This record gives sequence, structure tokens and C-alpha cells, in this order.
Amino acid sequence: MKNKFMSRGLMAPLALLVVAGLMLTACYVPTSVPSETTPAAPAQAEEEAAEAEKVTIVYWSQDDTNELQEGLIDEFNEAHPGIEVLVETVPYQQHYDRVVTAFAAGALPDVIRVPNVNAGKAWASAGMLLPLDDYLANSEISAEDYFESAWLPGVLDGVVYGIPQSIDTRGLGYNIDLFAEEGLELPTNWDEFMTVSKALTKDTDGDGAIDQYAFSPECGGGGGCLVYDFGMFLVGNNGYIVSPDGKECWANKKEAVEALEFWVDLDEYTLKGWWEMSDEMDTLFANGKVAMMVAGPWKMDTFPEINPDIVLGEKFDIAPFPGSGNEGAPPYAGTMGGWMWSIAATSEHPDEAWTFIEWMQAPELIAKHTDALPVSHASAEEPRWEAEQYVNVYIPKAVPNSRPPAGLSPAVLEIYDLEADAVQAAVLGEKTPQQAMDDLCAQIDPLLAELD
Amino acid sequence: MGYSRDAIVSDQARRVSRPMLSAAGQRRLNITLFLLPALALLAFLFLYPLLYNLYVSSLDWTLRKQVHEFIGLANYIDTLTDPGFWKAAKATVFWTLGSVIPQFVIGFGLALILRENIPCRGLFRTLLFLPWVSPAVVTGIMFRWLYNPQLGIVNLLLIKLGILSESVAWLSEPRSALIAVTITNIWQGYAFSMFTMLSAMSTVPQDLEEAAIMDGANYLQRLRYVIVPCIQPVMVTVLLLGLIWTTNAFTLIFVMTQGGPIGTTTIFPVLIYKTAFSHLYFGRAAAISVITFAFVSVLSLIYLRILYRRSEV
Repeated sequence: MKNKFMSRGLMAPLALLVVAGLMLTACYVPTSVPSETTPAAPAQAEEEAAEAEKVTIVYWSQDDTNELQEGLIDEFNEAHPGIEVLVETVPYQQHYDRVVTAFAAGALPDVIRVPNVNAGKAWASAGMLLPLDDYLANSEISAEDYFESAWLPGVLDGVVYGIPQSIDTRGLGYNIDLFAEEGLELPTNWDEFMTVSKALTKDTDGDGAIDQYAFSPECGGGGGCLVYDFGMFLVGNNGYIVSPDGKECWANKKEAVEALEFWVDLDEYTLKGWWEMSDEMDTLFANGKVAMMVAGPWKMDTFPEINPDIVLGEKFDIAPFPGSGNEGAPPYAGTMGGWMWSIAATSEHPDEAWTFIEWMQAPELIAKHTDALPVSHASAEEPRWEAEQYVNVYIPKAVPNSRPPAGLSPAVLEIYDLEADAVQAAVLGEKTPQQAMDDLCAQIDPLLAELD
Repeated sequence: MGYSRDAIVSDQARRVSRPMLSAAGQRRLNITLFLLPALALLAFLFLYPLLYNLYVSSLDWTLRKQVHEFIGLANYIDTLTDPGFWKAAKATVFWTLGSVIPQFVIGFGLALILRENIPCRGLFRTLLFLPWVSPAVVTGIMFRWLYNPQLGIVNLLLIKLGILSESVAWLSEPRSALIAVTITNIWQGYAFSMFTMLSAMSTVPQDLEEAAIMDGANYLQRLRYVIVPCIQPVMVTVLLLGLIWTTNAFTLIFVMTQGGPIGTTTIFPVLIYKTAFSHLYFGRAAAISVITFAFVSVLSLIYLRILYRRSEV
């Protein structure tokens, strides 16, 4: 039967066109010079010629910081007529996958916002990132200007691959009213932590089921989150998963095992089902169903967004997370992550990319574009922080006592997965804490040996 | 008709000048030429990634190493000797069969009900179709709330009915997590079976059913001897598609449990994702995906084989 609308003569070229079109779109990879591919009307030809001189820098970031960075990027573009920075953002998990996939496909952008602790060393050792030492030699940027914990994740074997953009750590968010009702003081060590936890876990409506829990981690068990939450206790007891030199597994040492024992004991007073949640605990905390929660600076806005009645300083507040109180333990604890800026090793315009990164390092700009805490000493003095009362907890108390939860190594994400399973096996009673940590080290040691 | 005229023309031509191709050959060439663009597209979009993946699976390709050496079958050996892989295999089989069979049974039952002239049929059809059109991410988050130990309705109902004395964290318990995500998947997927079979049932010739009724066949006999034989090809397709989709499903589990607790809901696609993107072993991940591909292919072939042998008898 003949098609009413299409003669046979038309079909073949059309089909070819469709095929070619599909193939082209399938092959499409983002390039850093979109201006050359956009068709221009003849009237725009002159303008186009001027534009041709312009170098376009593609910058991939996570969408959270978009608002903070967009205005600054416009400012940069205005101040640099020869460079145009194009920012492309996706959610965190997609950002990570997108960069790794683009690397495998040879299609990285020019500038990448890199999760420093979770990916910095892995991406550097893969050859994805450009060494920045030559640029640093001729730059005013120097390591001493930054917090050490912000700078170190960008260094691999003495070579710098990333300039800090933002750091974060965690503290203890608590519900002021729930503490006041029981006449409780904030805990300053693990014994007190357990005592207040017992008092704050209860059945408030008398139906026989517990509906108020003392404690909740910040997010669920998947995706490395558990490691950052359990790390609050690990760091608080001076425990390590991997030795500071990155060569040995220390997870089965006394300090780490004690932390896991405490975590298991605390489970009775920990929000039931927290493991399977992602941000449901925010809702429960904001509605007074959870009394204490691991909380980073970004939560200060989250809770009031969920429940406008829960006002920072009136209904909830933030305290430094207490250390264990055991001998040799720090007074406070925190797990640290953050972001850095790197140039892709494949970038065709590394000089312009560096100009952009360097420009963003002015202290007043750092204070604008960080979504958590400032990375440099000078930027911590900026007026923005005077208005942010919670920063007094994080910067002087939490930051100096914080470290990455499982050290810094190219294999850190794999270690997170193994550690999360070990911790969960202990909580579920499948293994004793000691057994779980021994088994964990049996898995981590070969990994570290392979890296060496 | 065009073909017969072509045949006559080429027949005459053959007698005159003995062309290189017979009529049938010419026709086959024509067909091939017309198929070529589509085949090229398929080869590019399907065959190329498949072969490339096969190639990657023979490399020592971890993100931590800048040189990717050829290591032959080592990735396959590592995978097959890893207890984690076999744990994932078990979970995959449970998840797949546990989803596909109930989806099929529920879908078939509902199709039979909706086929009858029940009141508000259109409304029921629409409502019952909703799970299929809701995205897996939405379904996953919705069920996470339903299962939630504090605010979820599942626990509330079970406690009110006296089945449970206190709430259970369904997705955090290794014993219940896989069952809980499988139930979610059944909910999400039954509507496809239902609708496909419902539309197939509408093509069952009415005279056949009427004849069966005249012969005194009861409902079950009509089902067995009239309806099922008529829609059998569709049933095969529904099961086969279900098998393939479910084995390759990723989103629902990733949204609900990320493969946990302690790996109990890690099915093959989640294992591949973790191996590639968390552990950064691309070679190993490629090997697991080749194995998954083989697993689905073999299952599908066995299934089709059994079925066609039976229908030949």
C-alpha cells in the first residue's frame, strides 16, 4: 500500500536524513566552543568575528551553589572580555557520575568543581586533572593562606591538583525545647550523651510505641553518608579507619572499635529506620520527633524551610559535637568534606581556566561563593560570617577538630562502601564490633597495598 | 500488483540478457538496501556499545590507573569468584521472579475483571493504570514514606490490625528489604501486564466464545480453551518483556535502598553501578554487564524454546 503523504522518491532521502540526524545527536559531546557551531545570520557576521577571539570556558558544577556563583561568574565575564565562562550544573550524584563518564569518553569540560575528599585524589591519580604547580609558582595564591584541611585533599604526591572552594564540617543540632522539658544540659562526652539519649527517647502519646527519638544521623545509610555520621564518633574517640600516612588500616584498633561499640549501643535511642531515609530525618527533627541530629551548616536553612516555627537560636541550635571524653580524645569532633576547583587535563584553554579560578580566590569572593564554610583564613574574617551566628560553632570549634572520615586516598569511595557495610553488620548484630572491624581491615589492607 | 509485474519484467529481462540476479535475488537486494539505514543505525547504537563493552571487559581499567592493560578473562574470573557477585545473583533471581510472576498473575486477573461489564469500568482502568505512568523515582520515594517506621501507613495499619506490636523499619532490615522493594516493583509494573492482556483479550473473536458457551463450556473452560490460546503470543511477550525490564531495573532499588542494607538488595544493575562509579573499576563493571546480558539472553532463549516446543506439539 502506498503512503498517501509520501512518495517513494521522497522516502529514501528523508530516511537518510533522519538516520544522519540521529547519529549526529548520538555522537554529540559538549565542546568548549559552542559559539563556533551556532549558525549566525549575515547581519551578525561582524559581531561574530569579534566573538571568535573570545575563549569559552565550560565549568561543571553541582547545582546547589549555582545561585551563589552565578552573579560572580557574570562579573568575571564582564571583567574579562576575552573569556566567557559557561556554567553547567546538575545535582550532586549526577555531577559525580557525569564527570567520571565524560572522562571515560574524553569529553571533560575545562573547569570542574571536584568533591575534594571523596574524589580529589582518585581523579588526580586517574590523570583527569591538570597539575597546577606551574601556575602556582607565578601566583599570589599560596597554601599558607588556606586552612590545611581545605588544601590537603587537592595534593597528591606533593603535586597540587585543586584550589579549595568550600569546606564543610558537622556539629550537633538540638531541639532547645525538648532539652528544657527534661531539664537536660548539652552532653560534653559520651557518658553524658548516653544519659541524655535515654531521657530523650520516649513514647509521648502513650500508645506504647516510641515516637520521639534522641538522636539521628544526618542522612541515610547509602552513598557514603553513614561514614560521615559514624565518623563523628570515630573522630571523637581519636580513631582512624586508615592511618594518617594512608598506608595501614587502623579500623580494628581500640579507638575505632570503641566508637563502633558506642554507635551500636546508641542504636536503641537512634531514629528507627534512619538507615533507609535520605532526608526524612530533617522533617522529623524540624517537627520535634528527634531531639539531636548531626548537622552541617547547610541545615540551618533546611529546618526552618520545613517548619517555619523552628527558628535558629529559639527552637533549635547548633553545638560542637562532643568528643568521647576518653584519654587522648579531642574535646570536639567533626567529619570534613568540601569542594575544590580543578582544571581538566584535557582542557584546551588551561591558562584562561586558571585565570578564572585565580580570580575567584579573593577573600571577599570566597565568602560569597562558598555554600558551607570559608576555605581561607582571610575569607573567614569577612563580614558575611558575623551575621551567621552558627559559624562561631563551626569555625573555631568544629573545624580544628575535624578530619575526613576515612582519610584521603584514591580508593576512598570504595572504603566508604566497605565501612558502611561493616558498621551496619555490627548494628544488625551479625558481627561483634571487633569482628566487623577486623573483617573491614582484611578488605582495606589489600586495597591500600595496591595503591602503594 | 507491483511485485508480480516486477517479476514478469525481470523474467523477460532474464531471457533476453541473463541478468546477474534472479527476481527473488533482486527483491532481496531491494529489501536489504531499504533496511540498510535502519541496520546501520542499530549497529551504531546497539552493536558498537555492546562490542566496546566486551572490549573494556578484557582490560585492567580502573580509574586509578592511567594505562589500561589487556588482561584477558581476569575480570570474569575475579567476578565469578567474588561472593558478592553470587549474593547479587541470588538477589537478582528473587527480585526478577518475585516481580514478574505476581505482576503477570495480578495483571491477568485484573484484565479478566475489567473485561466484564462492571460499573465504573473506565474509572477503574484509569486508576489501575496510574502506577505504570508514575516515574520510578516518584514511586520509590512514595513507598519509602509508606514504609517509614514513624509516619508510614504500612506500619500504622499492621499495628492497628494487631499484626505487629511495634513498627518495623522494612527497608533497613536485611530480612525484609528485598521483599519490600519487590512488592513496590510489583505495584509499579502490574499495570503493563494488565493493559497489554486486556487489549489482547478484546481481540478474542466473540463467536468462538459464544460457540463454547453453546457447547456448555463453563467460565474456566472458556478461559482455558478459548481465551488463553488466543492471547498466548501476547502473554509470552508480556512475560519476556517483564523478565528483561526487571532484570535491568535500577532506579527503584537505587532510590529506595541503594542496594543495602549490607548488600541485600544489590541486584546486577546496582552492582554494576557501584563497581563502575563508586569503586571505579570500569573493566570489572563491563564484565558484570556482559554476564548480566548473557544471563538475560539465556533465560529468554530457554523460555522461548520451551514455549515454542510446546506450541509445536
